[in-house]
Amino acid sequence: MVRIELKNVFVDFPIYGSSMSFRTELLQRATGGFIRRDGKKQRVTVRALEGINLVLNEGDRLGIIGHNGAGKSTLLKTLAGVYEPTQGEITVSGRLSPLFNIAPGWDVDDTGYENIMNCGLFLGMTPEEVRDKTPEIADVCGLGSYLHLPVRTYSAGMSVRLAFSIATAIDPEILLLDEALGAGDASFAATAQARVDRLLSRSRILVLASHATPLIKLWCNTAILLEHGRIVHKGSVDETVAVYDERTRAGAALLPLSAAAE
Amino acid sequence: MIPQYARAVEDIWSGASNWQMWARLGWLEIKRRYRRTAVGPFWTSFNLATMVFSVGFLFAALFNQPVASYMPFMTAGILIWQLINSIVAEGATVFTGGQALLTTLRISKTLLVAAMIWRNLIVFFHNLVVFAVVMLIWKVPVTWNTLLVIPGLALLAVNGLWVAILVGIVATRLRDVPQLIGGIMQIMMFLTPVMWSRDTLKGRELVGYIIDYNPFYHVVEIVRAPLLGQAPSLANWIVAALMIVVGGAGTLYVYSRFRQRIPYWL
Repeated sequence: MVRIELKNVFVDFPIYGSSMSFRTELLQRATGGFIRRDGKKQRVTVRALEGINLVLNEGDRLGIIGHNGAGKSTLLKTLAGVYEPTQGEITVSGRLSPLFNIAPGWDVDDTGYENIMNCGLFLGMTPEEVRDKTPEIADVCGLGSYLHLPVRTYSAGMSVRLAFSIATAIDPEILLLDEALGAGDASFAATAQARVDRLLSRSRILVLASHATPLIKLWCNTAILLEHGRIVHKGSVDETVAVYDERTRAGAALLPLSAAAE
Repeated sequence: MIPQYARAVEDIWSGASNWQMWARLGWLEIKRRYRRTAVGPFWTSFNLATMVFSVGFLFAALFNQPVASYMPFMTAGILIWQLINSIVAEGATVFTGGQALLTTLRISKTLLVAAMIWRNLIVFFHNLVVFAVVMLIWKVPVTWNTLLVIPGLALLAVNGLWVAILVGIVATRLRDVPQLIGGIMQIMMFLTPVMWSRDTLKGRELVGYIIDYNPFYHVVEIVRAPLLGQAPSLANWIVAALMIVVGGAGTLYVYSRFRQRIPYWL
């Protein structure tokens, strides 16, 4: 069974400036001046997620809507297990495929084929899976014998095609996307669209964070609206988008994140 | 808390056991570093050889040692010290250097450490060529004891794993630590019998006893003695093994407390 559950999840980022180096910490220990008497360390944190409750089941395609800094990416990374909640609980069953960086392990000095293996492994495939999928990837990106050359010799468009073809070859159970997957040039657009559609239909849960509400309307069947790390609305896509548009017009969500002293 | 330990152990195990991945990562890094150079990783061997053959003769004279026994001793010592030193020093930057991976992928943190250790072992194997030459010139015997180099290196690598994780955690949080480590390791090189032998302290046994408490000495010895065709002492083995138990337990404690904080610190 594929399922994600978040119970009252908080994520607080500590902010370290140069002031938290060894020197000041030693000095503070030695002088005792900047430490509060109650023994609690004074520390500036940014609360990126606050009290998130969320349950996702098989077939759910969740869109995360919100302004810059609302916590969309942090929520995705928390789902991916990159950040473990500072408070609260998260349970995930199913294979997670975060596609925040579509080409992890990419190296311009490696050949196209080598990069297929590099990225494939980092995207969670076994070496055998990558080998099985290599002909398909080579076919989709259409780079032919260029794949034997270092990626350094490719044009920007060719690199994007290859990275895209690798990323869309995965078999995710839970697919996490930060903004849409795209592959630049027009001649490739139709193939790219078909590939993304197939990738999405293979995945059993989708979580997509985006500003672009049309995209969320197209791909998702449920949505949440984040503001300052809180879920302010949860519901159908149309409803959530309507709330988002209305609140944007009212200017409610444009305040910066508030810094809280712990 | 028990679940924290369980998760830390799971992370360590999933990273350390995924040998296909760390072997590839370690090798790729070597490939990247030496791409388009003519001799690749043998560059470090070449530099090592230059040093051994220039400084070696001088130090043999300084320490009043016969060249035939001093050259193999020093070559082996420096080779091993370079391995230890780079594991500790690179341990301090292993998490900060892996930032791109650690903040976008769900990846075992131990995997990065294992890849780093493997990479340094590969460099060590390349450097062994220099020792092979020294062996031929000064006729170092190959005995059954030579085979002990395998368990010796294994103990060194496992010790490297906990040291690098521990140093990595501290250095990710406190960015002054990598500099500090560099200084400490330089001093330790002089305090450890690498360039000079424990035997030269004859008549000054007190200093000798202090050296016996230097853990680096024992770790160097479990690899060096087999390279020289001798068996390491029981004390060497025991100390190296105890370090894994004690250091490993300490690191497990620190790791289970702070492992989940590492991405926040990056």
